[in-house]
Amino acid sequence: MHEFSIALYVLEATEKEARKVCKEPKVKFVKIKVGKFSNVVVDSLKFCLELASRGTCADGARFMIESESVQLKCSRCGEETCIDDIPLICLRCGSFDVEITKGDGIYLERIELEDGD
Amino acid sequence: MEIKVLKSVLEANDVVAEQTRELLDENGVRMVNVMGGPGCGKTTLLERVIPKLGVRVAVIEGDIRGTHDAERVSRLGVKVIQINTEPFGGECHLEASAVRGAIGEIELDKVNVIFVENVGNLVCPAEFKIGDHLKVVMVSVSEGDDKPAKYPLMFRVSDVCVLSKSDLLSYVNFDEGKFKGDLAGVNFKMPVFKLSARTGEGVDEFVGWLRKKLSL
Repeated sequence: MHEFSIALYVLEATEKEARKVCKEPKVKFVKIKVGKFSNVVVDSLKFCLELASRGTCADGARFMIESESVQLKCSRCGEETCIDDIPLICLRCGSFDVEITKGDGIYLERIELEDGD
Repeated sequence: MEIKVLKSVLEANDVVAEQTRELLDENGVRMVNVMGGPGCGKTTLLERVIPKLGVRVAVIEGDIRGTHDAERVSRLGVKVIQINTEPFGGECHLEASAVRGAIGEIELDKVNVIFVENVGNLVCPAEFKIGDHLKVVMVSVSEGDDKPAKYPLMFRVSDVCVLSKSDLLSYVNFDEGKFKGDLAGVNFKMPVFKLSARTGEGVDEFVGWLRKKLSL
Protein backbone atom coordinates (compact mmCIF):
# COMPACT_ATOMS: atom_id res chain seq x y z
CA MET A 1 0.00 0.00 0.00
CA HIS A 2 2.79 2.40 0.89
CA GLU A 3 5.37 1.04 -1.53
CA PHE A 4 5.35 4.29 -3.52
CA SER A 5 6.38 6.25 -0.40
CA ILE A 6 9.12 3.70 0.24
CA ALA A 7 10.26 3.99 -3.40
CA LEU A 8 10.62 7.75 -3.03
CA TYR A 9 12.76 7.24 0.07
CA VAL A 10 14.92 4.70 -1.80
CA LEU A 11 15.48 7.17 -4.62
CA GLU A 12 16.22 10.03 -2.22
CA ALA A 13 18.80 7.90 -0.40
CA THR A 14 20.26 6.68 -3.72
CA GLU A 15 20.71 10.21 -5.03
CA LYS A 16 22.21 11.38 -1.72
CA GLU A 17 24.82 8.58 -1.74
CA ALA A 18 25.57 8.98 -5.46
CA ARG A 19 26.10 12.71 -5.14
CA LYS A 20 28.72 12.13 -2.43
CA VAL A 21 31.06 10.78 -5.12
CA CYS A 22 29.83 12.44 -8.30
CA LYS A 23 28.34 15.80 -9.18
CA GLU A 24 25.92 14.56 -11.82
CA PRO A 25 25.65 10.81 -11.20
CA LYS A 26 23.96 8.32 -13.50
CA VAL A 27 22.88 5.31 -11.45
CA LYS A 28 22.70 1.99 -13.32
CA PHE A 29 22.01 -0.47 -10.50
CA VAL A 30 20.40 -0.32 -7.06
CA LYS A 31 20.25 -3.21 -4.60
CA ILE A 32 17.73 -3.14 -1.78
CA LYS A 33 17.15 -5.60 1.03
CA VAL A 34 13.62 -5.97 2.32
CA GLY A 35 13.08 -7.79 5.58
CA LYS A 36 10.38 -10.45 5.53
CA PHE A 37 8.94 -8.98 8.72
CA SER A 38 8.35 -5.59 7.08
CA ASN A 39 5.07 -4.86 5.35
CA VAL A 40 6.60 -4.24 1.94
CA VAL A 41 5.41 -6.26 -1.05
CA VAL A 42 8.53 -6.73 -3.20
CA ASP A 43 6.77 -6.77 -6.60
CA SER A 44 4.87 -3.59 -5.74
CA LEU A 45 8.06 -1.87 -4.61
CA LYS A 46 9.83 -2.81 -7.85
CA PHE A 47 6.96 -1.44 -9.92
CA CYS A 48 6.92 1.79 -7.91
CA LEU A 49 10.68 2.20 -8.21
CA GLU A 50 10.56 1.86 -11.97
CA LEU A 51 7.81 4.46 -12.10
CA ALA A 52 9.21 6.91 -9.57
CA SER A 53 12.78 6.81 -10.92
CA ARG A 54 11.82 8.40 -14.25
CA GLY A 55 13.52 11.74 -14.62
CA THR A 56 15.84 11.11 -11.66
CA CYS A 57 19.50 10.12 -11.65
CA ALA A 58 18.32 6.49 -11.41
CA ASP A 59 16.15 6.68 -14.56
CA GLY A 60 16.58 3.37 -16.39
CA ALA A 61 18.50 1.77 -13.52
CA ARG A 62 18.08 -1.93 -12.74
CA PHE A 63 16.53 -2.48 -9.30
CA MET A 64 17.29 -5.70 -7.46
CA ILE A 65 15.28 -6.40 -4.33
CA GLU A 66 16.41 -9.20 -2.07
CA SER A 67 14.26 -10.61 0.70
CA GLU A 68 15.96 -10.90 4.06
CA SER A 69 14.98 -13.67 6.44
CA VAL A 70 13.95 -12.89 9.99
CA GLN A 71 16.69 -13.60 12.51
CA LEU A 72 15.93 -13.79 16.21
CA LYS A 73 18.18 -13.64 19.28
CA CYS A 74 16.76 -15.27 22.39
CA SER A 75 17.01 -13.16 25.55
CA ARG A 76 16.74 -16.31 27.68
CA CYS A 77 19.31 -18.70 26.15
CA GLY A 78 21.17 -16.46 23.69
CA GLU A 79 20.45 -18.71 20.67
CA GLU A 80 20.23 -17.05 17.26
CA THR A 81 17.71 -18.60 14.90
CA CYS A 82 16.18 -17.86 11.52
CA ILE A 83 12.45 -18.21 11.15
CA ASP A 84 10.16 -18.20 8.14
CA ASP A 85 6.98 -17.14 9.84
CA ILE A 86 5.44 -16.09 13.13
CA PRO A 87 5.30 -16.97 15.99
CA LEU A 88 8.51 -15.23 17.04
CA ILE A 89 9.85 -17.99 19.22
CA CYS A 90 13.29 -19.34 20.09
CA LEU A 91 13.63 -22.67 18.29
CA ARG A 92 15.98 -23.97 20.98
CA CYS A 93 14.26 -23.18 24.27
CA GLY A 94 10.77 -22.13 23.15
CA SER A 95 10.89 -18.68 24.76
CA PHE A 96 8.86 -15.82 23.28
CA ASP A 97 11.35 -13.36 24.76
CA VAL A 98 13.25 -12.76 21.53
CA GLU A 99 14.74 -9.79 19.78
CA ILE A 100 14.56 -9.39 15.99
CA THR A 101 18.15 -8.83 14.86
CA LYS A 102 17.55 -9.01 11.10
CA GLY A 103 14.61 -8.98 8.72
CA ASP A 104 12.41 -6.14 9.96
CA GLY A 105 13.82 -3.26 7.97
CA ILE A 106 14.31 -1.98 4.42
CA TYR A 107 17.92 -1.26 3.48
CA LEU A 108 19.73 0.34 0.61
CA GLU A 109 22.61 -2.10 0.25
CA ARG A 110 24.61 -0.78 -2.68
CA ILE A 111 24.43 1.25 -5.85
CA GLU A 112 26.45 1.22 -9.06
CA LEU A 113 27.12 4.25 -11.18
CA GLU A 114 27.70 4.33 -14.93
CA ASP A 115 31.36 4.07 -15.99
CA GLY A 116 33.02 7.43 -16.12
CA ASP A 117 31.13 8.61 -12.98
CA MET B 1 31.66 2.42 -9.74
CA GLU B 2 30.14 0.52 -6.85
CA ILE B 3 29.10 2.27 -3.63
CA LYS B 4 28.33 0.16 -0.57
CA VAL B 5 25.63 1.89 1.47
CA LEU B 6 23.99 -0.46 4.02
CA LYS B 7 21.63 2.18 5.38
CA SER B 8 17.97 2.05 6.27
CA VAL B 9 15.94 3.44 3.43
CA LEU B 10 13.79 5.32 5.92
CA GLU B 11 16.75 7.07 7.53
CA ALA B 12 15.56 10.45 6.23
CA ASN B 13 12.23 9.94 8.00
CA ASP B 14 13.81 8.50 11.15
CA VAL B 15 16.19 11.45 11.54
CA VAL B 16 13.22 13.84 11.61
CA ALA B 17 11.45 11.55 14.09
CA GLU B 18 14.49 11.66 16.40
CA GLN B 19 14.61 15.45 16.19
CA THR B 20 10.92 15.62 17.05
CA ARG B 21 11.46 13.37 20.03
CA GLU B 22 14.35 15.55 21.25
CA LEU B 23 12.22 18.67 20.92
CA LEU B 24 9.40 17.06 22.91
CA ASP B 25 11.81 15.86 25.62
CA GLU B 26 13.35 19.32 25.93
CA ASN B 27 9.88 20.67 26.61
CA GLY B 28 8.72 17.84 28.89
CA VAL B 29 5.95 16.82 26.47
CA ARG B 30 4.94 13.19 25.85
CA MET B 31 3.54 12.03 22.51
CA VAL B 32 1.24 9.04 22.02
CA ASN B 33 0.74 7.50 18.57
CA VAL B 34 -2.72 5.91 18.33
CA MET B 35 -3.01 3.44 15.46
CA GLY B 36 -5.68 1.03 14.30
CA GLY B 37 -7.93 0.16 11.38
CA PRO B 38 -10.72 2.46 10.21
CA GLY B 39 -13.65 2.42 12.61
CA CYS B 40 -11.92 0.61 15.47
CA GLY B 41 -12.73 3.49 17.81
CA LYS B 42 -9.60 5.68 17.93
CA THR B 43 -11.46 8.99 17.99
CA THR B 44 -14.03 7.74 20.51
CA LEU B 45 -11.21 6.52 22.76
CA LEU B 46 -9.63 9.98 22.70
CA GLU B 47 -13.02 11.52 23.53
CA ARG B 48 -13.25 9.30 26.64
CA VAL B 49 -9.61 9.32 27.74
CA ILE B 50 -8.63 12.97 27.33
CA PRO B 51 -11.10 14.39 29.92
CA LYS B 52 -10.01 11.70 32.43
CA LEU B 53 -6.28 12.28 32.04
CA GLY B 54 -6.41 15.60 33.85
CA VAL B 55 -3.50 17.14 31.97
CA ARG B 56 -3.13 19.65 29.16
CA VAL B 57 -3.53 17.89 25.83
CA ALA B 58 -3.20 18.69 22.12
CA VAL B 59 -4.27 16.34 19.34
CA ILE B 60 -2.90 15.81 15.84
CA GLU B 61 -5.47 14.15 13.61
CA GLY B 62 -4.28 12.24 10.55
CA ASP B 63 -6.70 11.39 7.76
CA ILE B 64 -6.48 11.10 4.00
CA ARG B 65 -9.16 13.74 3.70
CA GLY B 66 -11.75 15.58 5.79
CA THR B 67 -11.85 17.17 9.20
CA HIS B 68 -14.55 15.03 10.80
CA ASP B 69 -12.41 13.54 13.56
CA ALA B 70 -10.72 16.87 14.31
CA GLU B 71 -14.14 18.50 14.73
CA ARG B 72 -15.20 15.80 17.20
CA VAL B 73 -12.07 16.11 19.31
CA SER B 74 -12.08 19.91 19.26
CA ARG B 75 -15.38 19.80 21.21
CA LEU B 76 -13.29 18.69 24.19
CA GLY B 77 -11.77 22.18 24.20
CA VAL B 78 -8.27 21.02 23.24
CA LYS B 79 -6.02 22.29 20.47
CA VAL B 80 -6.43 20.07 17.41
CA ILE B 81 -4.41 20.10 14.22
CA GLN B 82 -5.66 18.17 11.20
CA ILE B 83 -3.19 16.68 8.74
CA ASN B 84 -4.75 15.57 5.46
CA THR B 85 -2.48 13.37 3.36
CA GLU B 86 -4.55 13.76 0.19
CA PRO B 87 -2.49 16.75 -1.04
CA PHE B 88 0.60 14.54 -0.72
CA GLY B 89 -0.93 11.78 -2.80
CA GLY B 90 -3.27 10.31 -0.23
CA GLU B 91 -0.70 8.55 1.93
CA CYS B 92 -2.10 5.87 4.18
CA HIS B 93 0.12 6.83 7.12
CA LEU B 94 1.65 9.89 8.78
CA GLU B 95 5.32 10.58 8.22
CA ALA B 96 7.70 12.27 10.64
CA SER B 97 7.88 15.49 8.61
CA ALA B 98 4.09 15.94 8.62
CA VAL B 99 3.91 15.41 12.38
CA ARG B 100 6.87 17.76 12.95
CA GLY B 101 5.06 20.41 10.94
CA ALA B 102 1.91 20.00 13.02
CA ILE B 103 3.90 20.21 16.27
CA GLY B 104 5.18 23.57 15.04
CA GLU B 105 1.63 24.88 15.52
CA ILE B 106 1.44 23.75 19.15
CA GLU B 107 2.77 25.90 22.01
CA LEU B 108 4.76 23.17 23.76
CA ASP B 109 4.90 25.03 27.07
CA LYS B 110 1.12 24.85 27.20
CA VAL B 111 0.71 21.05 26.84
CA ASN B 112 1.78 17.91 28.70
CA VAL B 113 0.65 15.27 26.18
CA ILE B 114 0.14 15.22 22.41
CA PHE B 115 -2.04 12.46 20.99
CA VAL B 116 -1.54 11.61 17.34
CA GLU B 117 -4.48 9.79 15.82
CA ASN B 118 -2.79 8.14 12.85
CA VAL B 119 -4.47 7.33 9.56
CA GLY B 120 -6.80 4.35 9.97
CA ASN B 121 -4.66 1.42 8.85
CA LEU B 122 -2.95 -1.57 10.48
CA VAL B 123 -0.22 -1.79 7.83
CA CYS B 124 1.66 1.37 6.90
CA PRO B 125 1.85 3.43 10.13
CA ALA B 126 3.94 0.62 11.65
CA GLU B 127 6.82 1.36 9.24
CA PHE B 128 7.08 5.11 9.83
CA LYS B 129 8.52 6.49 13.04
CA ILE B 130 7.14 9.87 14.09
CA GLY B 131 9.03 10.50 17.33
CA ASP B 132 6.41 9.30 19.81
CA HIS B 133 7.01 8.02 23.36
CA LEU B 134 4.28 5.42 23.20
CA LYS B 135 2.53 3.47 20.44
CA VAL B 136 -1.03 2.24 20.95
CA VAL B 137 -2.54 -0.32 18.57
CA MET B 138 -6.32 -0.60 18.67
CA VAL B 139 -8.49 -3.45 17.50
CA SER B 140 -12.23 -3.68 18.03
CA VAL B 141 -13.78 -7.07 18.85
CA SER B 142 -16.00 -6.75 15.78
CA GLU B 143 -12.93 -6.77 13.49
CA GLY B 144 -12.05 -10.35 14.36
CA ASP B 145 -9.49 -12.12 16.52
CA ASP B 146 -6.92 -12.69 13.76
CA LYS B 147 -5.32 -9.24 13.61
CA PRO B 148 -2.01 -10.03 15.41
CA ALA B 149 -1.50 -12.95 13.04
CA LYS B 150 -2.33 -10.89 9.95
CA TYR B 151 -0.47 -7.70 10.89
CA PRO B 152 2.48 -8.83 13.01
CA LEU B 153 4.68 -5.78 12.38
CA MET B 154 2.08 -3.39 13.81
CA PHE B 155 1.72 -5.47 16.97
CA ARG B 156 5.48 -5.90 17.28
CA VAL B 157 6.32 -2.19 17.15
CA SER B 158 3.49 -1.08 19.46
CA ASP B 159 3.71 -0.83 23.25
CA VAL B 160 0.11 -1.56 24.23
CA CYS B 161 -3.01 -3.03 22.68
CA VAL B 162 -6.48 -1.62 23.30
CA LEU B 163 -9.22 -4.14 22.53
CA SER B 164 -12.23 -1.91 22.02
CA LYS B 165 -16.02 -2.26 21.80
CA SER B 166 -15.99 -4.98 24.48
CA ASP B 167 -19.74 -4.39 24.93
CA LEU B 168 -20.23 -6.19 21.61
CA LEU B 169 -18.50 -9.44 22.67
CA SER B 170 -21.71 -11.42 23.08
CA TYR B 171 -22.76 -10.51 19.52
CA VAL B 172 -19.57 -11.43 17.65
CA ASN B 173 -17.31 -14.45 17.25
CA PHE B 174 -14.20 -13.22 19.01
CA ASP B 175 -11.95 -15.80 20.62
CA GLU B 176 -9.99 -13.90 23.27
CA GLY B 177 -7.73 -16.90 23.90
CA LYS B 178 -6.73 -17.10 20.23
CA PHE B 179 -6.19 -13.34 20.05
CA LYS B 180 -3.92 -13.28 23.11
CA GLY B 181 -2.13 -16.47 22.03
CA ASP B 182 -1.32 -15.05 18.59
CA LEU B 183 -0.30 -11.77 20.21
CA ALA B 184 2.16 -13.56 22.50
CA GLY B 185 3.77 -15.03 19.39
CA VAL B 186 4.46 -11.55 18.07
CA ASN B 187 4.94 -9.39 21.17
CA PHE B 188 4.62 -11.40 24.35
CA LYS B 189 5.23 -8.47 26.70
CA MET B 190 2.40 -6.37 25.27
CA PRO B 191 -0.34 -5.50 27.78
CA VAL B 192 -3.91 -5.68 26.51
CA PHE B 193 -6.68 -3.41 27.79
CA LYS B 194 -10.16 -4.62 26.96
CA LEU B 195 -12.58 -1.72 27.13
CA SER B 196 -15.78 -0.17 25.94
CA ALA B 197 -15.79 3.57 25.35
CA ARG B 198 -19.57 3.32 25.15
CA THR B 199 -20.21 1.71 28.57
CA GLY B 200 -16.99 2.90 30.22
CA GLU B 201 -15.89 -0.64 31.11
CA GLY B 202 -12.11 -0.82 31.36
CA VAL B 203 -11.49 2.84 30.50
CA ASP B 204 -10.28 3.88 33.97
CA GLU B 205 -7.79 1.00 34.07
CA PHE B 206 -6.36 2.06 30.74
CA VAL B 207 -6.17 5.70 31.81
CA GLY B 208 -4.37 4.67 35.02
CA TRP B 209 -1.81 2.68 33.04
CA LEU B 210 -1.35 5.55 30.60
CA ARG B 211 -0.76 8.08 33.40
CA LYS B 212 1.87 5.80 34.94
CA LYS B 213 3.57 5.05 31.63
CA LEU B 214 3.73 8.71 30.66
CA SER B 215 4.83 9.75 34.17
CA LEU B 216 1.92 12.17 34.55
